[in-house]
Amino acid sequence: MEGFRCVVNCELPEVEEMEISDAAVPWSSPDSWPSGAVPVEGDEVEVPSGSWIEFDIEETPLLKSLTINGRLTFKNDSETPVNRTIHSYWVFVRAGELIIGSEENPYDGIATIRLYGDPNGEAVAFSMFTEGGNKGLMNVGLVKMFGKDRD
Amino acid sequence: MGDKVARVYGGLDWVAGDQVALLATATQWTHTDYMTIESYDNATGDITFTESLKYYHYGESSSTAADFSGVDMRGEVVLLTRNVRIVGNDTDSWGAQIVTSDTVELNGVQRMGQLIFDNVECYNCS
Repeated sequence: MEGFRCVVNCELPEVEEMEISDAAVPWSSPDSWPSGAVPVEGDEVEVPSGSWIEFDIEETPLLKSLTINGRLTFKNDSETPVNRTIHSYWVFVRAGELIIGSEENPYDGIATIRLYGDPNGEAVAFSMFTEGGNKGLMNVGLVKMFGKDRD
Repeated sequence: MGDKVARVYGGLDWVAGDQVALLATATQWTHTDYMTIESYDNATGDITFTESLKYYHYGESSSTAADFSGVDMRGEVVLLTRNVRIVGNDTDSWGAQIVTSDTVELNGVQRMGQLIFDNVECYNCS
């Protein structure tokens, strides 16, 4: 039997933390990303510290990972609700925030985070001391999600 | 058993396509049925499912009549569908997971995970 402490991210690079911007920039714009390109399939995507990205497209390609060190919110339109989906092997909310809807205005469309992976997939480690498994929404930051109340 | 219908309260916001669970009411705790609504009559509360129920579910509201104040032993019908969802893609029945944790990073930075879920559905999670 072999045991692995962790496979990837054993030593996460430090985050230089900056105050989150007052204005959101759209996911769909290349200018919103440090790489200068909208994420494509297989990307290891980071919402950088200091930036506030609004998820304004219907669907991402299948990402390898999504790390949130800034803020990621879902664009909501109550008049014409849009269904939005993030496809990723894992989502790691680290020095940042993942927010869908709000207490006052729950999300109106269908917001989905679809996670991928199998029993042998790479595990995510928050640090040398904490491991989070794979195929997960891992959170050491802030996650707030508000769906519509049903009755 | 074998039925495709059940009656709940009228006036709910349930619609075709919603998923519900009918909890076990007999001796086997595993006898929960997971059903998809085909139609819901808002006036009567009658539900028709897309498929037949596998198990028996008790539905009489005053089970003990005048005795014991007519204890209500009806099986619960639980609406599972929500519009904000965390979904595990179905691979080898390996579920997705949601982890909120504290951690200390190598440089000593402490992080304390916080999570608020309100009407969030977790599907294929383990």
